[in-house]
Amino acid sequence: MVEYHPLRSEDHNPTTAEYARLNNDAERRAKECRSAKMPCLSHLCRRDYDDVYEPSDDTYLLIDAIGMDVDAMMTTEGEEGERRRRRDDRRGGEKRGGDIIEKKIIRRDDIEITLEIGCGTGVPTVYLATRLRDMAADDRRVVARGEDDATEDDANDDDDVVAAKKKTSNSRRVAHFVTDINADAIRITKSTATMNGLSHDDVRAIGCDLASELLDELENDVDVLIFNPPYVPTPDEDVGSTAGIEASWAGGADGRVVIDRALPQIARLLAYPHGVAYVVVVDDNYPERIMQLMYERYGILVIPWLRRRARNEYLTILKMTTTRMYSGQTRERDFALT
Amino acid sequence: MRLLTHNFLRSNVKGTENGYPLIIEVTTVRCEESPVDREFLLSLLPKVDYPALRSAVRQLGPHCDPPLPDLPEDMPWSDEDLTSLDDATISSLHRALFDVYLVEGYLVCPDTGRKFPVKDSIPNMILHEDEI
Repeated sequence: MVEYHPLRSEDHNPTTAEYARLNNDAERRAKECRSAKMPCLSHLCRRDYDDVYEPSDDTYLLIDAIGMDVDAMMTTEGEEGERRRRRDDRRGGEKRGGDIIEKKIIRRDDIEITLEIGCGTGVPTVYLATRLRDMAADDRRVVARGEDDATEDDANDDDDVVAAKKKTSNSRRVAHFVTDINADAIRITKSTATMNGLSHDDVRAIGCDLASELLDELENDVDVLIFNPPYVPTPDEDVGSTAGIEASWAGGADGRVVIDRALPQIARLLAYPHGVAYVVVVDDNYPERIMQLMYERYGILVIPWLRRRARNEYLTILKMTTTRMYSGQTRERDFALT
Repeated sequence: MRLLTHNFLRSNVKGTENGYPLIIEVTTVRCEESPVDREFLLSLLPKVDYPALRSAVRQLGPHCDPPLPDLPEDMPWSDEDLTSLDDATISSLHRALFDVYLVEGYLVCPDTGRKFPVKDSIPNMILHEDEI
Protein backbone atom coordinates (compact mmCIF):
# COMPACT_ATOMS: atom_id res chain seq x y z
CA MET A 1 0.00 0.00 0.00
CA VAL A 2 1.38 3.36 -0.98
CA GLU A 3 1.39 6.11 1.58
CA TYR A 4 -1.25 8.75 1.09
CA HIS A 5 0.29 12.15 0.59
CA PRO A 6 -1.14 14.98 2.70
CA LEU A 7 -2.97 17.53 0.61
CA ARG A 8 -1.77 21.06 0.47
CA SER A 9 -4.82 23.01 -0.52
CA GLU A 10 -8.11 21.96 0.99
CA ASP A 11 -10.09 24.17 -1.32
CA HIS A 12 -9.19 22.27 -4.44
CA ASN A 13 -7.84 18.98 -3.26
CA PRO A 14 -10.28 16.82 -1.45
CA THR A 15 -9.31 14.62 1.42
CA THR A 16 -9.98 10.93 0.92
CA ALA A 17 -13.47 11.36 2.37
CA GLU A 18 -14.05 14.29 0.06
CA TYR A 19 -12.85 12.22 -2.86
CA ALA A 20 -15.29 9.49 -1.93
CA ARG A 21 -18.08 12.06 -2.03
CA LEU A 22 -16.97 13.22 -5.48
CA ASN A 23 -16.94 9.61 -6.62
CA ASN A 24 -20.49 9.17 -5.34
CA ASP A 25 -21.57 12.23 -7.28
CA ALA A 26 -19.90 10.85 -10.39
CA GLU A 27 -21.70 7.53 -9.97
CA ARG A 28 -25.01 9.29 -9.53
CA ARG A 29 -24.36 11.41 -12.62
CA ALA A 30 -23.52 8.31 -14.64
CA LYS A 31 -26.80 6.70 -13.58
CA GLU A 32 -28.83 9.76 -14.44
CA CYS A 33 -27.21 10.61 -17.76
CA ARG A 34 -28.61 9.63 -21.10
CA SER A 35 -26.85 6.74 -22.80
CA ALA A 36 -24.95 8.15 -25.78
CA LYS A 37 -25.67 6.62 -29.16
CA MET A 38 -22.63 4.73 -30.43
CA PRO A 39 -21.34 5.75 -33.84
CA CYS A 40 -21.80 3.06 -36.46
CA LEU A 41 -18.90 0.60 -36.66
CA SER A 42 -20.37 -1.87 -39.15
CA HIS A 43 -17.42 -1.24 -41.50
CA LEU A 44 -15.14 -3.07 -39.09
CA CYS A 45 -14.77 -6.81 -38.84
CA ARG A 46 -13.34 -9.08 -36.18
CA ARG A 47 -9.93 -9.02 -37.85
CA ASP A 48 -9.67 -5.24 -37.48
CA TYR A 49 -9.80 -5.66 -33.71
CA ASP A 50 -6.54 -7.59 -33.86
CA ASP A 51 -4.96 -4.25 -34.76
CA VAL A 52 -7.03 -1.69 -32.91
CA TYR A 53 -8.75 -1.49 -29.51
CA GLU A 54 -12.35 -2.67 -29.68
CA PRO A 55 -14.75 -0.18 -28.07
CA SER A 56 -15.79 -1.39 -24.66
CA ASP A 57 -17.28 -0.09 -21.40
CA ASP A 58 -14.60 2.60 -21.10
CA THR A 59 -15.47 3.92 -24.56
CA TYR A 60 -19.19 3.95 -23.74
CA LEU A 61 -18.65 5.86 -20.50
CA LEU A 62 -16.41 8.33 -22.30
CA ILE A 63 -19.01 9.17 -24.97
CA ASP A 64 -21.71 9.33 -22.28
CA ALA A 65 -19.63 12.04 -20.60
CA ILE A 66 -19.14 13.94 -23.85
CA GLY A 67 -22.81 13.51 -24.74
CA MET A 68 -23.94 14.79 -21.36
CA ASP A 69 -21.93 17.99 -21.79
CA VAL A 70 -23.15 18.47 -25.36
CA ASP A 71 -26.73 18.16 -24.05
CA ALA A 72 -25.94 20.72 -21.36
CA MET A 73 -24.47 22.98 -24.03
CA MET A 74 -27.79 22.97 -25.82
CA THR A 75 -29.79 23.90 -22.73
CA THR A 76 -27.44 26.59 -21.47
CA GLU A 77 -26.88 28.19 -24.86
CA GLY A 78 -28.27 31.63 -25.47
CA GLU A 79 -28.06 34.74 -23.42
CA GLU A 80 -29.75 33.42 -20.31
CA GLY A 81 -27.27 30.54 -20.10
CA GLU A 82 -24.40 32.92 -20.65
CA ARG A 83 -25.62 35.27 -17.90
CA ARG A 84 -26.03 32.39 -15.49
CA ARG A 85 -22.58 31.09 -16.31
CA ARG A 86 -20.91 34.44 -15.74
CA ARG A 87 -22.75 34.87 -12.46
CA ASP A 88 -21.70 31.42 -11.30
CA ASP A 89 -18.10 32.07 -12.33
CA ARG A 90 -18.08 35.25 -10.28
CA ARG A 91 -19.70 33.70 -7.24
CA GLY A 92 -17.61 30.56 -7.42
CA GLY A 93 -14.43 32.56 -7.54
CA GLU A 94 -11.49 30.42 -6.61
CA LYS A 95 -13.33 28.58 -3.88
CA ARG A 96 -15.18 25.39 -4.58
CA GLY A 97 -13.31 23.58 -7.34
CA GLY A 98 -15.77 20.78 -7.98
CA ASP A 99 -18.79 23.05 -8.05
CA ILE A 100 -17.16 25.34 -10.57
CA ILE A 101 -16.49 22.50 -12.96
CA GLU A 102 -20.02 21.22 -12.55
CA LYS A 103 -21.43 24.55 -13.56
CA LYS A 104 -18.84 25.38 -16.15
CA ILE A 105 -20.15 24.13 -19.46
CA ILE A 106 -18.07 24.82 -22.51
CA ARG A 107 -20.02 26.92 -24.99
CA ARG A 108 -20.37 25.69 -28.50
CA ASP A 109 -18.95 28.92 -29.87
CA ASP A 110 -15.78 28.24 -27.91
CA ILE A 111 -15.13 24.97 -29.74
CA GLU A 112 -12.82 25.53 -32.68
CA ILE A 113 -10.19 22.86 -32.17
CA THR A 114 -10.61 19.41 -30.65
CA LEU A 115 -7.89 16.83 -30.18
CA GLU A 116 -8.08 13.16 -29.33
CA ILE A 117 -4.87 11.49 -28.20
CA GLY A 118 -4.78 7.79 -29.07
CA CYS A 119 -7.96 7.64 -31.11
CA GLY A 120 -8.22 3.85 -31.65
CA THR A 121 -11.38 3.25 -33.71
CA GLY A 122 -12.13 6.98 -33.51
CA VAL A 123 -15.46 6.55 -31.69
CA PRO A 124 -15.18 9.50 -29.24
CA THR A 125 -14.10 12.10 -31.81
CA VAL A 126 -16.59 10.87 -34.40
CA TYR A 127 -19.32 10.99 -31.74
CA LEU A 128 -18.42 14.57 -30.78
CA ALA A 129 -18.04 15.69 -34.40
CA THR A 130 -21.44 14.30 -35.43
CA ARG A 131 -23.18 15.81 -32.38
CA LEU A 132 -21.72 19.26 -33.12
CA ARG A 133 -22.61 18.92 -36.78
CA ASP A 134 -26.21 17.98 -35.92
CA MET A 135 -26.52 20.94 -33.55
CA ALA A 136 -25.43 23.27 -36.34
CA ALA A 137 -27.98 21.71 -38.69
CA ASP A 138 -30.73 22.21 -36.09
CA ASP A 139 -29.83 25.88 -35.79
CA ARG A 140 -30.01 26.30 -39.54
CA ARG A 141 -33.48 24.73 -39.57
CA VAL A 142 -34.71 27.08 -36.85
CA VAL A 143 -33.39 30.05 -38.78
CA ALA A 144 -35.00 28.82 -42.01
CA ARG A 145 -38.33 28.37 -40.21
CA GLY A 146 -38.00 31.85 -38.75
CA GLU A 147 -37.45 33.35 -42.17
CA ASP A 148 -40.57 31.64 -43.51
CA ASP A 149 -42.57 33.05 -40.64
CA ALA A 150 -41.09 36.47 -41.14
CA THR A 151 -42.74 36.85 -44.54
CA GLU A 152 -46.10 36.63 -42.80
CA ASP A 153 -45.40 38.72 -39.74
CA ASP A 154 -42.12 40.55 -39.47
CA ALA A 155 -42.58 41.71 -35.92
CA ASN A 156 -43.12 38.18 -34.68
CA ASP A 157 -39.52 37.02 -34.77
CA ASP A 158 -39.54 34.76 -31.75
CA ASP A 159 -36.68 34.48 -29.32
CA ASP A 160 -35.58 31.02 -30.46
CA VAL A 161 -35.09 32.28 -33.97
CA VAL A 162 -33.15 35.32 -32.85
CA ALA A 163 -30.90 33.13 -30.71
CA ALA A 164 -30.39 30.61 -33.49
CA LYS A 165 -29.60 33.35 -35.99
CA LYS A 166 -27.01 34.70 -33.65
CA LYS A 167 -25.50 31.26 -33.32
CA THR A 168 -25.38 30.48 -37.02
CA SER A 169 -23.77 33.81 -37.69
CA ASN A 170 -20.86 32.46 -35.73
CA SER A 171 -18.88 29.65 -37.19
CA ARG A 172 -20.26 26.18 -36.83
CA ARG A 173 -17.18 24.47 -38.17
CA VAL A 174 -14.65 22.77 -35.96
CA ALA A 175 -11.20 21.34 -36.74
CA HIS A 176 -10.97 17.88 -35.20
CA PHE A 177 -7.47 16.44 -34.78
CA VAL A 178 -6.71 12.84 -33.80
CA THR A 179 -3.41 11.12 -33.14
CA ASP A 180 -2.41 7.52 -32.62
CA ILE A 181 0.89 5.69 -32.53
CA ASN A 182 -0.76 2.83 -34.39
CA ALA A 183 -1.12 3.42 -38.14
CA ASP A 184 -4.06 1.00 -38.33
CA ALA A 185 -5.95 3.07 -35.77
CA ILE A 186 -5.49 6.20 -37.88
CA ARG A 187 -6.73 4.44 -41.00
CA ILE A 188 -9.73 2.95 -39.15
CA THR A 189 -10.61 6.30 -37.54
CA LYS A 190 -10.77 7.87 -41.01
CA SER A 191 -13.17 5.16 -42.14
CA THR A 192 -15.27 5.50 -38.97
CA ALA A 193 -15.63 9.19 -39.81
CA THR A 194 -16.86 8.59 -43.37
CA MET A 195 -19.06 5.69 -42.22
CA ASN A 196 -20.87 8.15 -39.95
CA GLY A 197 -21.50 10.79 -42.55
CA LEU A 198 -18.51 13.02 -41.95
CA SER A 199 -16.37 13.98 -44.90
CA HIS A 200 -13.07 12.15 -45.24
CA ASP A 201 -11.18 15.22 -44.11
CA ASP A 202 -13.38 16.33 -41.22
CA VAL A 203 -11.08 14.37 -38.95
CA ARG A 204 -7.45 15.42 -39.32
CA ALA A 205 -5.35 12.38 -38.52
CA ILE A 206 -1.69 12.31 -37.57
CA GLY A 207 0.41 9.29 -36.75
CA CYS A 208 2.48 10.28 -33.72
CA ASP A 209 3.23 9.54 -30.07
CA LEU A 210 0.63 11.27 -27.83
CA ALA A 211 0.53 14.88 -29.10
CA SER A 212 4.30 15.39 -29.10
CA GLU A 213 4.53 16.83 -32.61
CA LEU A 214 1.62 19.25 -32.06
CA LEU A 215 2.58 20.60 -28.65
CA ASP A 216 4.32 23.80 -29.58
CA GLU A 217 1.89 25.01 -32.18
CA LEU A 218 -1.31 23.98 -30.38
CA GLU A 219 -0.24 25.25 -26.95
CA ASN A 220 -3.27 26.85 -25.27
CA ASP A 221 -5.34 26.15 -28.39
CA VAL A 222 -7.26 22.93 -27.74
CA ASP A 223 -10.85 23.57 -26.70
CA VAL A 224 -11.87 19.94 -26.15
CA LEU A 225 -9.31 17.22 -25.50
CA ILE A 226 -10.15 13.52 -25.32
CA PHE A 227 -7.82 10.81 -24.02
CA ASN A 228 -8.63 7.16 -23.38
CA PRO A 229 -5.17 5.98 -22.33
CA PRO A 230 -3.75 2.52 -21.87
CA TYR A 231 -4.58 2.37 -18.17
CA VAL A 232 -4.22 -1.31 -17.27
CA PRO A 233 -1.42 -1.95 -14.73
CA THR A 234 1.21 -4.17 -16.37
CA PRO A 235 4.95 -4.70 -16.11
CA ASP A 236 6.67 -1.61 -17.55
CA GLU A 237 8.26 -3.58 -20.37
CA ASP A 238 4.79 -4.30 -21.80
CA VAL A 239 4.14 -0.61 -22.47
CA GLY A 240 4.14 -0.23 -26.25
CA SER A 241 6.42 2.47 -27.53
CA THR A 242 5.59 1.44 -31.07
CA ALA A 243 2.53 0.06 -32.82
CA GLY A 244 0.71 -3.08 -31.78
CA ILE A 245 -2.48 -3.85 -29.93
CA GLU A 246 -0.71 -4.01 -26.52
CA ALA A 247 -0.04 -0.28 -26.82
CA SER A 248 -3.80 0.26 -26.59
CA TRP A 249 -4.10 -1.06 -23.04
CA ALA A 250 -0.73 -1.79 -21.36
CA GLY A 251 -0.16 1.02 -18.85
CA GLY A 252 2.92 -0.11 -16.87
CA ALA A 253 3.24 0.49 -13.13
CA ASP A 254 -0.14 1.53 -11.65
CA GLY A 255 -1.28 1.86 -15.27
CA ARG A 256 0.25 5.30 -15.09
CA VAL A 257 3.28 5.20 -17.41
CA VAL A 258 1.51 6.58 -20.49
CA ILE A 259 -0.94 8.73 -18.50
CA ASP A 260 1.93 10.48 -16.70
CA ARG A 261 3.64 11.28 -19.99
CA ALA A 262 0.37 12.73 -21.32
CA LEU A 263 -0.62 14.89 -18.33
CA PRO A 264 1.95 17.67 -18.92
CA GLN A 265 0.95 17.70 -22.59
CA ILE A 266 -2.72 18.05 -21.68
CA ALA A 267 -1.88 20.94 -19.33
CA ARG A 268 -0.02 22.67 -22.10
CA LEU A 269 -2.58 22.10 -24.84
CA LEU A 270 -5.81 23.08 -23.07
CA ALA A 271 -7.16 26.49 -24.00
CA TYR A 272 -7.66 28.98 -21.20
CA PRO A 273 -10.22 29.71 -19.80
CA HIS A 274 -12.77 27.43 -21.45
CA GLY A 275 -10.74 24.32 -22.43
CA VAL A 276 -11.91 20.96 -21.15
CA ALA A 277 -10.34 17.49 -21.20
CA TYR A 278 -12.00 14.10 -20.70
CA VAL A 279 -9.61 11.40 -19.53
CA VAL A 280 -10.47 7.77 -18.76
CA VAL A 281 -8.93 6.19 -15.64
CA VAL A 282 -9.49 3.22 -13.35
CA ASP A 283 -9.02 3.22 -9.58
CA ASP A 284 -5.68 1.43 -9.97
CA ASN A 285 -4.35 4.66 -11.50
CA TYR A 286 -4.84 6.59 -8.21
CA PRO A 287 -7.05 9.27 -9.76
CA GLU A 288 -7.04 11.34 -6.56
CA ARG A 289 -3.30 11.80 -7.01
CA ILE A 290 -3.77 12.82 -10.62
CA MET A 291 -6.20 15.48 -9.31
CA GLN A 292 -3.71 16.73 -6.80
CA LEU A 293 -0.69 16.97 -9.05
CA MET A 294 -2.55 18.49 -11.99
CA TYR A 295 -3.76 21.28 -9.75
CA GLU A 296 -0.49 21.85 -7.94
CA ARG A 297 1.72 21.81 -11.00
CA TYR A 298 -0.50 23.27 -13.66
CA GLY A 299 -3.54 24.82 -12.01
CA ILE A 300 -5.75 22.29 -13.77
CA LEU A 301 -8.90 21.38 -11.88
CA VAL A 302 -9.75 17.69 -12.11
CA ILE A 303 -13.01 16.13 -11.00
CA PRO A 304 -14.38 12.59 -11.32
CA TRP A 305 -17.20 13.33 -13.74
CA LEU A 306 -18.81 9.99 -14.54
CA ARG A 307 -18.10 6.74 -12.77
CA ARG A 308 -19.35 3.26 -13.45
CA ARG A 309 -18.43 -0.26 -12.51
CA ALA A 310 -17.51 -2.49 -15.43
CA ARG A 311 -16.79 -6.11 -14.68
CA ASN A 312 -13.65 -6.11 -12.49
CA GLU A 313 -12.81 -2.40 -12.63
CA TYR A 314 -14.23 0.96 -11.64
CA LEU A 315 -14.05 3.30 -14.58
CA THR A 316 -13.97 7.05 -14.07
CA ILE A 317 -14.03 9.85 -16.60
CA LEU A 318 -11.91 12.66 -15.19
CA LYS A 319 -12.96 16.09 -16.38
CA MET A 320 -10.17 18.64 -16.43
CA THR A 321 -10.54 22.40 -16.74
CA THR A 322 -8.08 25.28 -16.54
CA THR A 323 -7.79 27.92 -13.84
CA ARG A 324 -4.97 29.88 -15.42
CA MET A 325 -3.05 30.31 -18.63
CA TYR A 326 -0.36 27.69 -19.16
CA SER A 327 3.05 29.12 -18.46
CA GLY A 328 6.19 27.73 -19.99
CA GLN A 329 7.99 27.53 -16.66
CA THR A 330 6.49 24.16 -15.84
CA ARG A 331 7.31 22.82 -19.28
CA GLU A 332 10.49 20.91 -18.50
CA ARG A 333 9.45 19.63 -15.11
CA ASP A 334 9.81 15.95 -14.62
CA PHE A 335 6.61 14.16 -13.85
CA ALA A 336 8.07 11.27 -11.89
CA LEU A 337 6.22 10.64 -8.67
CA THR A 338 7.93 9.64 -5.51
CA MET B 1 -3.22 16.38 -45.09
CA ARG B 2 -4.06 20.03 -45.49
CA LEU B 3 -1.84 22.99 -44.73
CA LEU B 4 -3.69 23.76 -41.49
CA THR B 5 -2.37 20.46 -40.12
CA HIS B 6 1.08 21.15 -41.56
CA ASN B 7 1.05 24.49 -39.78
CA PHE B 8 0.70 22.75 -36.39
CA LEU B 9 3.34 20.02 -36.87
CA ARG B 10 6.90 20.04 -35.67
CA SER B 11 9.73 17.50 -35.85
CA ASN B 12 10.96 16.18 -32.50
CA VAL B 13 13.61 13.80 -33.80
CA LYS B 14 16.64 13.49 -31.51
CA GLY B 15 19.15 16.28 -32.07
CA THR B 16 16.64 18.72 -33.55
CA GLU B 17 17.12 22.31 -32.45
CA ASN B 18 14.29 23.82 -34.42
CA GLY B 19 12.09 21.35 -36.27
CA TYR B 20 9.64 23.95 -37.57
CA PRO B 21 8.26 24.44 -40.13
CA LEU B 22 8.53 21.12 -41.91
CA ILE B 23 9.61 21.25 -45.54
CA ILE B 24 7.12 19.70 -47.96
CA GLU B 25 8.23 17.26 -50.66
CA VAL B 26 5.37 16.67 -53.04
CA THR B 27 4.55 13.42 -54.80
CA THR B 28 0.78 13.88 -55.22
CA VAL B 29 -1.50 16.79 -54.41
CA ARG B 30 -5.24 17.12 -54.69
CA CYS B 31 -7.14 20.38 -54.97
CA GLU B 32 -10.78 20.56 -54.03
CA GLU B 33 -12.64 23.82 -53.90
CA SER B 34 -14.79 24.34 -50.82
CA PRO B 35 -17.07 27.24 -49.91
CA VAL B 36 -15.31 30.02 -48.00
CA ASP B 37 -16.35 30.08 -44.35
CA ARG B 38 -15.22 33.51 -43.28
CA GLU B 39 -16.03 33.14 -39.58
CA PHE B 40 -14.25 29.81 -39.25
CA LEU B 41 -11.20 31.14 -41.02
CA LEU B 42 -11.07 34.28 -38.86
CA SER B 43 -11.37 32.20 -35.69
CA LEU B 44 -8.42 30.03 -36.71
CA LEU B 45 -6.08 32.69 -38.12
CA PRO B 46 -4.74 33.82 -34.72
CA LYS B 47 -3.51 30.25 -34.22
CA VAL B 48 -1.82 30.09 -37.64
CA ASP B 49 1.88 30.76 -38.10
CA TYR B 50 1.95 32.98 -41.18
CA PRO B 51 5.58 32.56 -42.30
CA ALA B 52 5.15 28.77 -42.11
CA LEU B 53 1.94 28.93 -44.14
CA ARG B 54 3.54 31.17 -46.71
CA SER B 55 6.54 28.90 -47.22
CA ALA B 56 4.22 25.85 -47.43
CA VAL B 57 2.22 27.56 -50.18
CA ARG B 58 5.43 28.26 -52.09
CA GLN B 59 6.38 24.58 -51.89
CA LEU B 60 2.96 23.14 -52.70
CA GLY B 61 1.52 25.87 -54.92
CA PRO B 62 3.29 25.01 -58.20
CA HIS B 63 1.97 21.43 -58.02
CA CYS B 64 -1.66 22.56 -57.89
CA ASP B 65 -3.91 22.99 -60.89
CA PRO B 66 -4.33 25.89 -61.34
CA PRO B 67 -1.13 26.79 -59.47
CA LEU B 68 -1.64 28.41 -56.09
CA PRO B 69 -0.28 31.99 -56.17
CA ASP B 70 2.24 32.99 -53.50
CA LEU B 71 0.87 34.68 -50.42
CA PRO B 72 2.02 38.28 -49.76
CA GLU B 73 5.33 38.64 -47.98
CA ASP B 74 3.90 40.78 -45.20
CA MET B 75 1.39 39.15 -42.94
CA PRO B 76 -1.97 40.45 -44.16
CA TRP B 77 -3.56 40.51 -40.71
CA SER B 78 -2.68 41.21 -37.13
CA ASP B 79 -4.07 38.94 -34.45
CA GLU B 80 -5.65 41.96 -32.78
CA ASP B 81 -7.33 43.21 -35.91
CA LEU B 82 -8.71 40.74 -38.41
CA THR B 83 -11.31 43.10 -39.82
CA SER B 84 -8.83 44.62 -42.25
CA LEU B 85 -8.78 41.47 -44.36
CA ASP B 86 -10.41 41.96 -47.76
CA ASP B 87 -12.41 39.27 -49.54
CA ALA B 88 -9.65 38.41 -52.02
CA THR B 89 -7.11 37.77 -49.25
CA ILE B 90 -9.66 35.77 -47.25
CA SER B 91 -10.32 33.60 -50.24
CA SER B 92 -6.65 32.96 -50.98
CA LEU B 93 -5.97 32.10 -47.32
CA HIS B 94 -8.98 29.80 -47.29
CA ARG B 95 -7.77 28.06 -50.43
CA ALA B 96 -4.27 27.60 -48.98
CA LEU B 97 -5.45 26.26 -45.64
CA PHE B 98 -8.41 24.10 -46.62
CA ASP B 99 -8.55 23.30 -50.33
CA VAL B 100 -5.13 21.85 -51.02
CA TYR B 101 -4.22 18.35 -49.88
CA LEU B 102 -0.84 16.70 -49.75
CA VAL B 103 -1.87 13.13 -50.59
CA GLU B 104 1.54 11.49 -51.00
CA GLY B 105 4.94 12.89 -50.25
CA TYR B 106 7.22 13.73 -47.35
CA LEU B 107 7.51 16.23 -44.55
CA VAL B 108 11.19 16.94 -43.99
CA CYS B 109 12.70 18.10 -40.71
CA PRO B 110 14.48 21.40 -41.55
CA ASP B 111 17.20 20.64 -39.02
CA THR B 112 18.07 16.96 -39.37
CA GLY B 113 16.64 16.14 -42.79
CA ARG B 114 14.59 13.27 -41.33
CA LYS B 115 11.81 12.49 -43.80
CA PHE B 116 8.34 11.79 -42.44
CA PRO B 117 6.19 9.98 -45.00
CA VAL B 118 2.70 11.17 -45.94
CA LYS B 119 0.49 8.42 -47.31
CA ASP B 120 -3.23 8.60 -48.12
CA SER B 121 -3.09 12.16 -46.75
CA ILE B 122 -1.93 10.91 -43.33
CA PRO B 123 1.42 12.16 -42.03
CA ASN B 124 3.39 9.58 -40.07
CA MET B 125 5.48 11.37 -37.46
CA ILE B 126 6.19 8.26 -35.39
CA LEU B 127 9.84 8.06 -34.39
CA HIS B 128 11.97 4.94 -34.11
CA GLU B 129 13.29 4.13 -30.67
CA ASP B 130 16.81 5.37 -31.47
CA GLU B 131 15.41 8.72 -32.62
CA ILE B 132 13.78 9.66 -29.30
